[in-house]
Amino acid sequence: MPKQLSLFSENKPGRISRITEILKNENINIKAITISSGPDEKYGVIKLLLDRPDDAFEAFQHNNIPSKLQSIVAIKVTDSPGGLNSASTVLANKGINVKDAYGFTIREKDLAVFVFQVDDVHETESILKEAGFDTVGDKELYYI
Amino acid sequence: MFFQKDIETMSRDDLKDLQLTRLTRTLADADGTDFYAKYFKDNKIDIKKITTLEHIKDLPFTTKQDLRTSYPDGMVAADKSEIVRIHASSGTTGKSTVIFYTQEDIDNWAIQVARALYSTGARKEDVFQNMMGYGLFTGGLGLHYGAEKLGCTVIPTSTGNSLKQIQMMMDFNSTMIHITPSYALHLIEIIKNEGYSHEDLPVKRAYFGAEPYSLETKEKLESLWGLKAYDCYGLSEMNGPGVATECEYQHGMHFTEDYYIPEIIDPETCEQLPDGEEGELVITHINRRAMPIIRYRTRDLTRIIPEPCQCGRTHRRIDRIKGRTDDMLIVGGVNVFPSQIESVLMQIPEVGNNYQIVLTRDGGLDKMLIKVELYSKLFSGELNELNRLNRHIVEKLRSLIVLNPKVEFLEPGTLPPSEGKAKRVIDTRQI
Repeated sequence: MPKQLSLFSENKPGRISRITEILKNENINIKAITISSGPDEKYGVIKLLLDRPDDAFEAFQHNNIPSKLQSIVAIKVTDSPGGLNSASTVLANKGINVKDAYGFTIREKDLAVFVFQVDDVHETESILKEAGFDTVGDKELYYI
Repeated sequence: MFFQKDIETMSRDDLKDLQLTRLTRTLADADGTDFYAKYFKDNKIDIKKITTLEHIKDLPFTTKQDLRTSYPDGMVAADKSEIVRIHASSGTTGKSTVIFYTQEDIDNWAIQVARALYSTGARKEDVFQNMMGYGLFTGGLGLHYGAEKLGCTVIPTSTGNSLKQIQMMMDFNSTMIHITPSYALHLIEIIKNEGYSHEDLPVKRAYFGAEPYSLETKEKLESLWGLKAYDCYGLSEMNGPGVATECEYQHGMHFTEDYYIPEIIDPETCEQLPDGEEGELVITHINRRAMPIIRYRTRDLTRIIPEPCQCGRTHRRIDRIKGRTDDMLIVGGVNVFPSQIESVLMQIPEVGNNYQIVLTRDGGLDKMLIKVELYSKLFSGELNELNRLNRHIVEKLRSLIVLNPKVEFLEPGTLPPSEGKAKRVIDTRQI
């Protein structure tokens, strides 16, 4: 199963720079990043897709930055209108609650990758596979 | 098991006789000082008329301000050549208050602390690592001399240099530590990062000092370190540590009543309160030659426990200090003690041990913001979980302190380091 890394961060100048600095020093590549803010925008959570999430997790723990690794489900779709809609309709029909989702595109391959965060990653993956979606394994996702 | 059985288990009547003898001598000594000679005269006190312990309530109080007014030596009763040491309290406002000791005072203090340590189960076989500041502060040297008097091996590491502290602890098998609670919380994290678990630690007993700490903090520290912590009350004006200490039964702190006369008063009316009622602790030192202090207003809130203790000691006990009358924050007309906020935060595993209370005034309204560091290892990874946690803490606080505070999460290590005295309250309100 591919993994995403979530980080806690205060919302003040230099935080993203500090986090990316740690990744740079470890020679870890960022595939995707999302940032969401809490009340009064004082703090937030940063989610990262990385080529070496386990190493990154260790590096953040070592730097005492609150961080967590979570399994996610990723699928490949063609980069065209309606790509995400068809996948999310399948999940909705099966009663899967998507806690968080985001995506990124790979222009050279004309490909989009969608990431779903759900409670049961194994069930979700098999539902998507049965519906004909191309799920992405961890090695594949990290080295796209 | 007693260090001085005759004194510790003395009948109440004999103890009162001893107290009266010592009070009489103390008043005569005090009358020889510049400060008290004038004070007795101004308040029309004839010390010869103080013939029973009950008369103590007719004597005037001594305050911290009086100690400052008599700076540097207006309260010294002994000849200057007899003074062997001074200590001073960390005066954050105004002059520091200075306490003087003769050799007899230093010896008596050591006996008092040795007796206190013994009552917690400490013996001469113990190794005592003293991680408290030495110097003008009474805590470091006070316990140092007391532990030596008891016959323990004393390691005077003082504060700071955490890795050295850990190495000494492991190499010399320290069985007892004296440490500030905030440094204890910090040090155990470092100990864990060094790869030790609490089962590896030789420490069995801890004495936390220099900062107030809640029962929840004490329990948390006991489980993190795998030890027993004994409450120990003291203040520099009354020698320092050893004024009152928990015995092995850990149900209140036995007051060293052959050294002091404790009273509880209503801080508003200044009337004496009966045993069992909560109020401000007032102490008269009746066993110090260099510097007698009469009816000192400690500003600490507690009560005297009237029932006798199972341990057999006849010296009465006081409850844990609930707060200080001058630590009390008045926020939006509501009385709040920082210890109440701490006790809530200590029950929330997802937040760390360091916190700060920030008070501001906005359009005439008081606002309270509580900044607390997240605990790295229990981070959920989800913003909505954090928001839920935030609301949960606000709810718990609101049910305790009536106010509606804001809670802000910080990254670990953001607040000022917790070595030494931690600054917990920032009040930016303009009066």
